[in-house]
Amino acid sequence: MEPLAPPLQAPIRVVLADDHAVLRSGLKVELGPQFLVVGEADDAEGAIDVINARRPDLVISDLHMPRGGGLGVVRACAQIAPIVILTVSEAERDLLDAVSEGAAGYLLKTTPIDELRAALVKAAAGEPVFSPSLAALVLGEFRRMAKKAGASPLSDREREVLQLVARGHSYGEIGTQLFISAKTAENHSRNILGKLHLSRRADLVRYAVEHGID
Amino acid sequence: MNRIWSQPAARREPLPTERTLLQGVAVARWAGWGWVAITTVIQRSDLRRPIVAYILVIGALLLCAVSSWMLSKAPHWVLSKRVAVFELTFGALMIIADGWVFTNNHNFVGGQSLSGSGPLVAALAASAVLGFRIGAPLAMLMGATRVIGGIANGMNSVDAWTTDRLLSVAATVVQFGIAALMFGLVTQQLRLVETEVLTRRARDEVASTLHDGVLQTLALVARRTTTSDPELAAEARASDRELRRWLFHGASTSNDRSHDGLEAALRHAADHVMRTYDLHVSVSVVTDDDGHSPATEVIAAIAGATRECLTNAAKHAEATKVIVFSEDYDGVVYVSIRDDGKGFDPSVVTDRAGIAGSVKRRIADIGGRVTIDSKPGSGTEVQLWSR
Repeated sequence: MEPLAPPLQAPIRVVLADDHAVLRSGLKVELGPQFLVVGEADDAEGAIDVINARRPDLVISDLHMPRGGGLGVVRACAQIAPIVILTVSEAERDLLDAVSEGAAGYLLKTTPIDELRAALVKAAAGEPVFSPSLAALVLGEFRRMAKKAGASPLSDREREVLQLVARGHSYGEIGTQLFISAKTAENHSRNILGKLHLSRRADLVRYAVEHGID
Repeated sequence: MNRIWSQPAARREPLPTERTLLQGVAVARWAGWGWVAITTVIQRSDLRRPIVAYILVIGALLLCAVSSWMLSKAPHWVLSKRVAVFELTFGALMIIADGWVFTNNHNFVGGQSLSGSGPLVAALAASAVLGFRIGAPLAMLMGATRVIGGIANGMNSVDAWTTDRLLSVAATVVQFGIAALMFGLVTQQLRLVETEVLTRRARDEVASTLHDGVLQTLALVARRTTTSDPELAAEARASDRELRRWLFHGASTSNDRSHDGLEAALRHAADHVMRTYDLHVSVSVVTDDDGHSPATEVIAAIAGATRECLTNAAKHAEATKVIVFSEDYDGVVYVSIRDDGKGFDPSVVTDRAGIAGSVKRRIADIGGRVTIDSKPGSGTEVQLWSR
């Protein structure tokens, strides 16, 4: 087991965006003293305003919300703070869309609270929160891309890292297995997400050109 | 015949495409019988029994009018088997009357008949309603009534039935049969497709509703009660899992059968173990979309071995979470089963119960290999390759 991040001096400043008030209030209590909720919103536009005003360390956002949804929040604010999508949805398209738009992580609402806290701490520190099942989905997506384009945008090393994440290994364990540092393993993950983002963008552009959309 | 209408007719409204098809049939019906009406008037000099002919033609036009009215006002009648059989009977009656109202030999030589393509439309409609299995034979039977029409026309002796005439009757029978068969088949397929589409749409609606309500609540219950009431939390997670599987995987697995084999078998194994032990198993399967499914015995061996590993993780390793990851590449199926249990030292425990016996044997039987990585305190990962 990997040691948890050392307790921070100041709590992590969080913005919560979810259209269910009950969930927000519940989560606020459960997050504990390590986190400080500095803003709340019940729709995407509200969330974007609050994030711009409060400049938090971390955003926890639902995916299905009125006026733009979690994807809208990610598109507008991914540069300001890491955004973790906390949702009940496990639909492939939702996952891939959120990640390729720049979400720092994707967690299910059924995740036990201690795991949730640990993942959020990592996300706030800028580590990509990559669940094994999400890694498997991304792996599948790259395989489809490779088949269409004839060559995979992933390097062999990146593929190895991605597969190890899908098998449930932490960055530390991956580092040990591949004789690299945990930080390098983490950087590979970040690059993989970046490539997913770029490839999906390129796909959209190609689609638009082929179908004559300006 | 009794079989067809002995059961109470299920009152069913036509599906949208079905209605469009039946509207097409209604237009064809007007065209068919309208043409008969026109040609009967034009050929009135050939009529032996003009009054009867005119009455029948008016009857045919009435039939068209009533059918069109039914389609707009009481569409479920159009789908009634009685109406379909009635139309077929009427078609047969017109074919027979054709021989009776016209002068000798009119119905085999030259001229347009009293029946024309009207009965053909009856065959189409009947096949759409009764299905081609019943519709096509009945349509052929209707075509065969041309023999009775011939007799009514005066062909009473065997000699009167020359090869030409017999062939002409046979051609009608075959044409009616083919038309009814094709139309019945097409209607049936459209009906299947449309039902599927409607089911999907209903499922999507249910999904989005549940999504915002029930799933959110289950998630909340599961998280809030993790420590206070672990049993309730487990229950909530199980319900969440089942609902989720139905919502998000139900549609894709029924649609994509090519990968059903391996993925379904692994999920089945995981479900089985989760029902028996307090263990959470997540299953991810990555495959090529090229439709190549591994052989049945490979799937069975892999799934059986995976199940053994999961049982082992729950029973001996005291694991709470297992991640199953599978990928098939160049025809090789790879599976990793990784638990968060207490682990063991492979150099000390060389023959841990379960693994050596059932897992290795199963995989060896299909010519594959197995590796086991474990360290005390850091879980166990079993990896399987089918070749």
